[in-house]
Amino acid sequence: MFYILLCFQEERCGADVMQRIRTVTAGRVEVGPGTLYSLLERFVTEGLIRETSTQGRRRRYVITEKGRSMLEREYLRLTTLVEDYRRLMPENGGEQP
Amino acid sequence: MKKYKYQMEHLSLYHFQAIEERLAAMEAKGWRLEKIGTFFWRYRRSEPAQTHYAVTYRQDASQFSPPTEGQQSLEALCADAGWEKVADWFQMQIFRSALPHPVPLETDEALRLENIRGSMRKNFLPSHLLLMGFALFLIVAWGGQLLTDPVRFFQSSSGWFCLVLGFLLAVFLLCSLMGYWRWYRKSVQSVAEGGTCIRAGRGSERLSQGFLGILILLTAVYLFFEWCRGGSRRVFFWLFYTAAILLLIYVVQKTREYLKAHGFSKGVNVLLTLGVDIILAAALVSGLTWGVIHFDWFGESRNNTYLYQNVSCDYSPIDLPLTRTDLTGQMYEHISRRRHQGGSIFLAYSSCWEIVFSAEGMESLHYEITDVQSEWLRQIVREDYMEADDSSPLKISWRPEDPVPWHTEQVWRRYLDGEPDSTYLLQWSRRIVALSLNTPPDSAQKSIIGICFKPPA
Repeated sequence: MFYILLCFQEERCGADVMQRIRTVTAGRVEVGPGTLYSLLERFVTEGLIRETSTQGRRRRYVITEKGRSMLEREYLRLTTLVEDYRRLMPENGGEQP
Repeated sequence: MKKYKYQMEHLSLYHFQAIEERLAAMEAKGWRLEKIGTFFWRYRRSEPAQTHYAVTYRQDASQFSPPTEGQQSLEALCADAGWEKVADWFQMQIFRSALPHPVPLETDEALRLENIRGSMRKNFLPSHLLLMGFALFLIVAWGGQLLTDPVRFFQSSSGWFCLVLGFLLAVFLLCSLMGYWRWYRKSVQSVAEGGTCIRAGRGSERLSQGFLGILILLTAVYLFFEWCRGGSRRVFFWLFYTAAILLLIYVVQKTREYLKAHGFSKGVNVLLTLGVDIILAAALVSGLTWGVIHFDWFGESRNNTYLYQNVSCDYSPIDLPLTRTDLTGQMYEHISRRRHQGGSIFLAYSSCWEIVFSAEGMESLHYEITDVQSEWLRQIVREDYMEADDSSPLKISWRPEDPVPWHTEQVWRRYLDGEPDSTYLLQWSRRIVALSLNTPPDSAQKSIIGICFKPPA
């Protein structure tokens, strides 16, 4: 979900998103077309992205304000996790939990 | 060299791994999936190739509607990733890819599990519950007859056939439902722990194959016994009926496919397909009923008859084991005879009627011959004949008579309100005969009756 919403900062179609995720994660993360399509539909229903145009059978989407704030929340959650890790790990001189 | 191969695949919607592997294996052998029908999967001959197959599920897909916009967009997205749509099966969308390492179609196991569950709830569960209702109906209807009217139950093979079929179907459906439930629970656990949906075992596939095998065997045994009991007409009726049902299913399926291919909406397709189904089913039932009555399919053929005193009399009466002529020595000018034969693997049954016209008026003779091998069933048959008729205001009782004049082993005579009438029950070691006469027989007639009905050694 995180990478998909991240990719929709710009208007993109599903195929672009699959390619983009593969590129930015250096092939570490892959999203299959079946999974992606189900998630796109769900995101549209939940108002996280919106359809901007349709070219033939290809649809393009962009993130909405709601989607952006959800992405922000997810970023903060992940950042908090990373900060907790850094703060608590002994090799970083961290305190014991 | 044949172009198509039709194969019955005993797979369910949640056997996605098995389906993917089966299709890849078939293509490696030179058979590419083309279409999934009601009973068979159709493969087209192709060049043997190492390809990948993968499935995904669309909740808006239906057997009744043309591809939705969502399906078309999914196909476009999959095409961009190197996946080509091959066929669909209810909500399941089947894709193939000739790429050596294609992107997996599904990369989120929780989402896959959710979609499979949605598909199963739409198709598998309703159809299984409907069939379970049918199985329970068979069990209740025929099991009820076995308990309340065992003689009638054993008088035809239909009873045990339907009862065993009901039990088999119920067990099969229950095992099938439990198999899916077990798979779902384990997959939920596996996915929650970060794993994948578990692979469905081959148990469900074997169960389905086993059920089909037993069903064919059971049907063959049923038809064999029907044939051996002289029920060749019932066998032909059964075969014709089954063929007609299969034809009906074929026509309904073709109607649905035609409407789907021509872009009719789901609502129109369902309505028209259902309409065709109802009309054909009504035509089948009424046509068969008319045919059975018109051609007297299950009765003794009585083509050459004429009316005499409102009774349908025969120009050439059929032979019966015992006739009024045997009893009286008289020849009758107007005779009406009928015989109904039935039976099962447990007993053989024959019911005969004769009406004759003499100077004294109309005389009738009716008897039922039941041949039973086992003692427990013979006792049930005897008790059934002796059972009091609830609709009769008269008190019925049976009293034993001297069997010697009848040349039999045991004889009972019926009494109504303490008064004897002319109905008798005769028993040999393997045969029971219930006989109704106009008047009580004399000694000579008893002897004739005993000789006529005596079972062959």
